[in-house]
Amino acid sequence: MNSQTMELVLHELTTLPGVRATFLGDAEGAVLAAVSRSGAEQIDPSTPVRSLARTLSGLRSLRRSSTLEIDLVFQQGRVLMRTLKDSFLAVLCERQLNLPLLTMALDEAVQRLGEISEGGTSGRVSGSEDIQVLVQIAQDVLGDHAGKVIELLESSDGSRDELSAAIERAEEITRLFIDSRNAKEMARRMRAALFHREG
Amino acid sequence: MSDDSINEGWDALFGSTQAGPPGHAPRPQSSSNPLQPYLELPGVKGVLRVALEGTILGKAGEVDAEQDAAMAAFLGAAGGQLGQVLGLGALQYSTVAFGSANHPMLLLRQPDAFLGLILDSGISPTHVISKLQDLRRKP
Repeated sequence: MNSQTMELVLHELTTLPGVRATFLGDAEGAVLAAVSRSGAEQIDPSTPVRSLARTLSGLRSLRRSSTLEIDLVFQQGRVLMRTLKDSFLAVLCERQLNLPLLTMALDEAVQRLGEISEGGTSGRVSGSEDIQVLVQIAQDVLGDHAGKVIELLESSDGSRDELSAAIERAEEITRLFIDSRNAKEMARRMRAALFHREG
Repeated sequence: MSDDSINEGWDALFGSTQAGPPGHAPRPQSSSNPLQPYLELPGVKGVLRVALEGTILGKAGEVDAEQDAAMAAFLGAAGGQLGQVLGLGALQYSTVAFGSANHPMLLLRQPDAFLGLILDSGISPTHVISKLQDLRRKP
């Protein structure tokens, strides 16, 4: 996904009355984008996004359904969550607010983020743009630890053969030294992005 | 819908030893299931009461007992943790919907258990909450 466009969508949601913050996370609990309401206390999204990802994973395993809508109402606030293909969008808001308006905006945001996601992975791009798509995936999956993988990808000439080889090396390096749990998933997403580009 | 009125409703619903909705007269012996009155709420097709660790304490209507109980206990626990992480206080209620093929669940937090209402697909959980409040207002 294009991170600037994602943040723009989140920013629009966050300007709605009663919304404190919006988070976009992936299934592994990595933060893809996060926006807090300007002037309000800035919220560190990493822990809530991990917690939400675990919740989604558990519920999906119980119902084997990829589409989920959750509304959690607490004493001092509310969290609404919607799933996208490989990620989820969560809104932290006041307990009392115009819920139909927020729900409508949330559905629209989910649709737009879905379109951005499709565009990002369909990748009608080539050469250096392909590298950028793969770099984005590495950042999504590995966060601050993506440096070595990014270096590897950027040293490629952008041809399909070189990128395929770079993905293989990136998977191996990640598995051995960075994040053994997510190496396979990162490589899968990278290969899927390349596959769509070729198609 | 004000917070106070919701809280009054929850207190009335879950603060007492009665598991059924307030405003309902005691039932004859043929309807001894204390969860049965919840089925009379519009859009509610099943109800179950689950201990915090997932043990089924009671059920009525159309319920996939094991799966719904697991979901209620998991969502309740996960929601509680999320409330702590975000500093939002205790979880009061939650709704979860799985696409259009499954029935949504309205999960209510009781002091020592979770109450899960399985809803018809077309019904708004807000509407059911409103009906719970109406029951509270009945003399």
